[in-house]
Amino acid sequence: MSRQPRSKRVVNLLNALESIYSNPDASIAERLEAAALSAKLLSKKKPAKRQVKSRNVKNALEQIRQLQNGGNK
Amino acid sequence: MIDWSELEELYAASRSDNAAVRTAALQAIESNLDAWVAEYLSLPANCYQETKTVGLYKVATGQPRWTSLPDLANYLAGWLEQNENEGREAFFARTNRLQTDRLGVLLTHHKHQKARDARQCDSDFIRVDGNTFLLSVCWDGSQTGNEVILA
Repeated sequence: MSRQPRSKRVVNLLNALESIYSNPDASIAERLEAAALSAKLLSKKKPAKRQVKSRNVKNALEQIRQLQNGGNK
Repeated sequence: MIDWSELEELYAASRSDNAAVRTAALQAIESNLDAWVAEYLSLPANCYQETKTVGLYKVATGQPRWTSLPDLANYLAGWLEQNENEGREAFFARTNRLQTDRLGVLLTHHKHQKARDARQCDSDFIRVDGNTFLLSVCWDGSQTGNEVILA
């Protein structure tokens, strides 16, 4: 099976938890655990888009300027 | 998008006398160079504008003209002019230095391309870091062109 994107996996997981939560045959403990897990998943932030490369260059240039200024003093 | 002023600044820093500055610049160059090269080679200006046959090869519109950095370096070195009173060995050594200076190749090619667009005649040339590059094939060797100065 091919790996699904993160958002799709999270949606599938949330649907599964929802079905446990709304299942009248499940125990109270199971339903509460499903609710807690859903809340935990929903509160997770989506990872920020990676802009490591450009940030690295800007950081490096900032560092270089500081080093040059320090060396010139 | 490539920020050429940032690259110029990094390149200058990579040749600094200060070892800490040099190391920081070289690390930044090393970790980003592949991405810059990939982006640069796929720019529309560096891709074939039409489907045609070049020698034995068929090229398609949008196909990158240079496949890799060594390929680009080899092309650029082809325009390098031998200085007056410069021996053959010294010229070959200078050519090798040019080809192995990876960020230098990218920066110089970018300038060469801009100068090619701005040339008035085929015997015009450009000077970058003490190296003279012809801008086009000049069949009349006696003709002296003008140096193209980029803004």
